[in-house]
Amino acid sequence: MTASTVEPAAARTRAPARTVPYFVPAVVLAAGLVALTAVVNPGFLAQGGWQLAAASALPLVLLAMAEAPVVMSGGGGIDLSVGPAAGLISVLIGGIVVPRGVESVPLLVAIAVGAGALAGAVNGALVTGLRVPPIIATLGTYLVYTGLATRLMPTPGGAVPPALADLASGSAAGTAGVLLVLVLFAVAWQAVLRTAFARNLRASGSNDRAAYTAGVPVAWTRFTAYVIGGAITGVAGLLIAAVLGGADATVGPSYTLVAIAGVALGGVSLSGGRGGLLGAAAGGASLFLIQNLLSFLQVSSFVLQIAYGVVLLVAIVANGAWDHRRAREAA
Amino acid sequence: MPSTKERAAGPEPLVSVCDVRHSYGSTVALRHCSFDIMPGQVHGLIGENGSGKSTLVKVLSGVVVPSGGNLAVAGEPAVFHSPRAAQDHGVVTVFQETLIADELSVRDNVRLGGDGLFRRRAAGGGRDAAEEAFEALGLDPRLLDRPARGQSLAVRQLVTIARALVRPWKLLILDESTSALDLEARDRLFQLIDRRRSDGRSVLFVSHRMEELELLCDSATVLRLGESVATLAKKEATTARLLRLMSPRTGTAGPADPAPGKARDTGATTGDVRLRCRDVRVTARSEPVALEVRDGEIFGVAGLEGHGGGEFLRVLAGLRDSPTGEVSVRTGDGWARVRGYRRAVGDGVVFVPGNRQAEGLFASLPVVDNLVLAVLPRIARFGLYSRRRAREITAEFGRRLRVTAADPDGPVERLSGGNQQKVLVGRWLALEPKVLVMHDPTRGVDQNTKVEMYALLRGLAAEGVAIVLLSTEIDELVAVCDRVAVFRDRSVFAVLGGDRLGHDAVLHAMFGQPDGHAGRHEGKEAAR
Repeated sequence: MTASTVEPAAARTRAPARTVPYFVPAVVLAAGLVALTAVVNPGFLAQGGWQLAAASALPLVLLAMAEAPVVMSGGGGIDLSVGPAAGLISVLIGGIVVPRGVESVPLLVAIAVGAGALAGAVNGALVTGLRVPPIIATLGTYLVYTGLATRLMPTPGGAVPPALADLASGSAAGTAGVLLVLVLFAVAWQAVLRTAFARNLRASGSNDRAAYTAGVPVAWTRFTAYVIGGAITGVAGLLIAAVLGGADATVGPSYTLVAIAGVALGGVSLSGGRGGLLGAAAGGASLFLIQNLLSFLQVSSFVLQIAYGVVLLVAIVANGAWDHRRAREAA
Repeated sequence: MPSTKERAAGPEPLVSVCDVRHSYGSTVALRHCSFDIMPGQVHGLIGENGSGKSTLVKVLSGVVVPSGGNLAVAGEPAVFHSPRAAQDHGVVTVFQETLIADELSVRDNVRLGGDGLFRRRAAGGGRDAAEEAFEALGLDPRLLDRPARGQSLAVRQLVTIARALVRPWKLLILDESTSALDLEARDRLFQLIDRRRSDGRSVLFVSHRMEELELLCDSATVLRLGESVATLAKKEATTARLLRLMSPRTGTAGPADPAPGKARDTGATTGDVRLRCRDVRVTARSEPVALEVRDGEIFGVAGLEGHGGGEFLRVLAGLRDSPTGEVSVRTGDGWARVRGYRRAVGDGVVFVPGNRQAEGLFASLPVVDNLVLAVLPRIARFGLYSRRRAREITAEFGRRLRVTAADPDGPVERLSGGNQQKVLVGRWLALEPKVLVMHDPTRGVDQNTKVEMYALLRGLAAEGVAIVLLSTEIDELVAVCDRVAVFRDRSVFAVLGGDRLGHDAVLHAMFGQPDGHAGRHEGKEAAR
């Protein structure tokens, strides 16, 4: 008798073909682009080439990662303010804190992460507390942070301590630092994945009604996603200051759309539930590599814009098609 | 400790519902609801559509905070502001919908919601609890490591049940949670419930299946129009008695005098067949339906919500595909297959949706634009249409339907519910349809509008229009329709007409009682 119930249920299920993890296309794309760059541009493998590229890619990679938890949390989650927030934090670090004599790197990291988390908390409170649609709420903070950065620092300038500037120099120590940042993120994210938060996050993004009625604190989960995204944005801001060797209030906003293109390219479902930091990082890295490749080939920056736009559209269409296909398989 | 002398005799109720009331805006869903669930009991909850069952379940599970009244758990007053809060009091609900997060594994779906924001709070040893629940429900524990996406409906429903079972529950609410299960899985669940209740845990069992209620429940509460009308012990709770208590009509007149409706019975069958369905199924697993609707006939569709009546209507109107068979309509030049709404409209079949706000009206657009929307292609010349002609049409149907609109250019949302419904009906009548398919056109409209709507339907039928009317009010169907198909489990359970069409017969059929009318044993009539 026991077997007779077990069997039909199991038979109806069929063993699903091992599904490809969401991040595989993005990682393959990024690896392919690295290989392509190495072939086209011999200087890339020469000493200093890839190290420099890695350092300058880092802010974009981090911002794509910052976008990931917010998008995964569902409910139309998106953070348009990541670029301006990172820009504002770079101004805070490079234009205000460092020139006033604070040079301790751990302290600067703490300030950047704290300020980023605060910016994320503002977005999260607007979205979950006041129920402002995410795209509107973060468009509002986008404008506020942009204005604030320009107000604080109308002209480029400022400074960063040598230890930070080193990160972007392509030197051995700097490269080690860049790798350290990535390793720390991998470790921290792995730690987060081992908590219940990861499940709450994916559940809230995948089916918020199911999550809510099952007892998942959906609003707090989404709020936390914004705060985590904000903290990563803070690190990105610090690295923008490092790459610039100071601060420039105008560079932040342009990162936003590329970061969003990065998550989409990274296989993170824009409707929530599926994704992670690895895919987003690979997506962000791919976009940087495309940019790098095109500028090496001396393609005009207008064409670069077009390339970004096309890549973004292709990524989103492919992403949606993936969602659609999976939904069909489920039916 | 029950200190009051009145209560001292019996044990304390596990959960008390005391005069709970709830309204959604101006709609009253629960007006006065009180009953106790005793520890160790399986308590049934039964009522017709709109009796407030689902609202009560939402209140008990923390999805809705009631507008009035209170709940008590083991004698302590309790307010459930969220499902989380209800669960912290030991009240765990399995909802009618299969609420599954597709991106998660089956195991994570079982564990869902048991944790804090970051902290894992594995219930009773985590891994083992999920496996135990699966084994108890007769599911292969290996399924736990599969993705939830792509699992069958039965497995998905069992996963939501397992999710509840792994919690430390004191009261388990099963809201129609057995509909997708086969008999064996259902019996396992019932055995499981039987074992668990011996340690003082209770179950609130909401079901439309009388035989399940009889089999399982120690007591049952009947809801009628948002009120708890009776709580019966097992001995008293016979099917006949429960059905009688559920029925809202005790001597009072129905929504309209039934006499004219009855008088039409003979005339209706004289028209030619207009709409024909053969081997149509609401879902792949439904029984096939074969029906014919004639010119001038008003054909009713009844059934509890979720039993397929609404889907059947959409199949008739070409808005939904039937996995087998076909629906055809007689047109000027022979039979045309109904497939896709656009073509159906061309062949004279129109559909008036039930949800005015979501599927029907454009709230902020003027009355005129709402009314002429469907007929626009017919009055347009080279893509342009005359505003004057649109006003004429609006005036004409406004008169016919007696729409009270101060300003036909004002937004339709300013009209009363009844007038909005008339505008929506007018939109489709403007096409001069041969077949009018209507989804509950009198829901949420005032009594006067209802009476006018019945007169309108009869008038249209007299003109030869074939009408298919789904209604959640049994009395309305009995009064207006020539025949009524009662849906149950997404199939036609009975088609009632002539003398056999009565309130009780429809109600009994909705609850799967084949006897139809009390004392009149004509056997179950299969759908023709």
